[in-house]
Amino acid sequence: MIVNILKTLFWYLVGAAVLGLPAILLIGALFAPLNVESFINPEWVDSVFMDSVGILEDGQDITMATNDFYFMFAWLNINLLIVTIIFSLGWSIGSHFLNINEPGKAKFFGLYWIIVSAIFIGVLSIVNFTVLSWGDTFPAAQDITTKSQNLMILLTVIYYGLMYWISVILGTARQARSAVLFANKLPARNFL
Amino acid sequence: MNKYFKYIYILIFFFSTISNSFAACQPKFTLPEFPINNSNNEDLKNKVYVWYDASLSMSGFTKSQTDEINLYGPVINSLQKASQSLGTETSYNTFGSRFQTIDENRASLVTTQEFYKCTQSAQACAQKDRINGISKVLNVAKKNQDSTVIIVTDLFLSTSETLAKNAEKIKSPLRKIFNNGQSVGVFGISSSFNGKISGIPTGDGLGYASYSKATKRPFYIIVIGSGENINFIREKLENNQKLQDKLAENPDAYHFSMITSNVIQKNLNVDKQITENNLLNISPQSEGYKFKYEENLPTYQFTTSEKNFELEFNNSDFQVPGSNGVSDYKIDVDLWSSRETSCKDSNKNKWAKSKRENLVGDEDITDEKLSINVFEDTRLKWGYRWFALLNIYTKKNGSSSQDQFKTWDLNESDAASHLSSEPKIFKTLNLMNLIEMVNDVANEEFKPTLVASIALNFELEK
Repeated sequence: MIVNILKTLFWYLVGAAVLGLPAILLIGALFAPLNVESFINPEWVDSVFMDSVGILEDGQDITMATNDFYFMFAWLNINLLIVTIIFSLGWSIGSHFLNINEPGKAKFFGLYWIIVSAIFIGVLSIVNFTVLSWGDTFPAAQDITTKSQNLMILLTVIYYGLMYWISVILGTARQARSAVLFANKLPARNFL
Repeated sequence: MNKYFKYIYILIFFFSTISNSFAACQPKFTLPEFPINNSNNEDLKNKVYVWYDASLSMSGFTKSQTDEINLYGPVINSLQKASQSLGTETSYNTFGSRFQTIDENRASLVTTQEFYKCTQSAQACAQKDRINGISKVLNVAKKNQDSTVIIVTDLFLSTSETLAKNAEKIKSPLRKIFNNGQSVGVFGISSSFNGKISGIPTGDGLGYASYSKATKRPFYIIVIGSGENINFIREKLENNQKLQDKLAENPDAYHFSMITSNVIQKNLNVDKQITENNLLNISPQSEGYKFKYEENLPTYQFTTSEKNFELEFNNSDFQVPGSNGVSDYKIDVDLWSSRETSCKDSNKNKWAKSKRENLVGDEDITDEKLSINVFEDTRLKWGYRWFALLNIYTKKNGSSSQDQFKTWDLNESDAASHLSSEPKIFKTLNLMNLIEMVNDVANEEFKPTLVASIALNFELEK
């Protein structure tokens, strides 16, 4: 059992790295000072996400507001990444313990996967709303428009949802692949 | 010894840090110039001019009338005593039929018929009786702006005296009077009357009639001077026992209105009259609450999650008592925000001036209180430190107190019918014309006055 878990863990990490590494790079870039050359263009962020009218109405500096936004977005991504890792890793390891003792039973556990995935999407949304709306940790959340707030929630849920799915496809126990959407379509099944 | 010095240095450093942390945690701003409050210094007593209307119809107030109480005598006696205490010197004069200065002996006869005797022909006396001549007295008041002028009259103005050039003769000195910060107090007292009222316009517009069946009629005391002096006279008159007895029986027997271009007696900052209690919905016991005056500016510093603040002031703390009050205020709010909420390191506080508008809701103005709701629909951002400087100015004077005289007013158009109804209580011709004229001039000369300046320095939590 442990050997099987360790085997799939490697492939889980490969799957998680596909979108996890860009997320880590993004977080690093967001924590870097604004004057450091970065692939995230502050002007683009201002134009797409920031509520410039509201910021300027209070006489605040857009650059400082962008800086605070970067800080908030970095922590949002950290939280979403942690949640994604917990859920995907949890499923990957947990799939080894599913009681699949006859052919076709794995499909039955597809319902489990759907429930876990739905809870995961729900938690992703809760984290998003806590950081961007309900919480009182990041005042920068007030510096973005409602439209961009909704866009951020949608994009991050899609991104980390994808990360979860890819890592789960590769990380699920071999006998339980039928429970995960498209996981049984993987090539080189014996190798994996 | 050195050890003690060391402790002293530490203490000095400690206290300077505390005071600086308060002072530095605010943006740079310019305070408006606070008006100088008038002092109640007794040394500032000035001359008092008492003007008696010597027209023949006034003599009716001196004769007794069965079943009616005469208030003219006791009230004028109280007035004479009050005028003696009010000023350094009292000068008595007459207007109406005779425009002259009189001595104390003559003045003492004002409550007797002798005082009003007209020595000229009956026709000449009737002619002079039709002209009140109050504009001449106002001109004297205009020239003696440090003095208090008291006018005792029946205020029976002919319509011509309230029109065009003649109206201007009244308005012009009033402008100067109000411009100088003086007020006009009008006392109306309904007293027994036993005499002849002349100069009543007839319905056909061809002449004037007289009437002698009235048993009651109001007379007026007009006081021109500072609000404090007017209130001094008011207090003395209202303490008159006969007047009090009459008021207990009939509250409509006495009316008072103070009309002024500036109803603000004092700025609340100058005497540091703003306290912790003026900010209603923030408890002084709350965490981080501080209240301090800095150069007469009261600053409330606090941390809150309240989204709006209620300020309340007692009108009696700043308005001239008995005046027409304020019907509208202008509240200027300068607002700054800082992303650094802590006041510990002032260097981190980068204050930015906000361009937000409509920061104050409609103020609630009652006879007793002024209530202001700040940031009601503003939705200030939480997680910021905000600094708001509120300057409260008067915008428009009130005019409600003049209405109480309406019951004694007689229009020229109604004069004939009033006469034909043979009233026991005779009204005053063109009374409201004069009072409205005084009120209009006061409003013309109105200048916004700073009532109070307040600073709110707060960290807004979610």
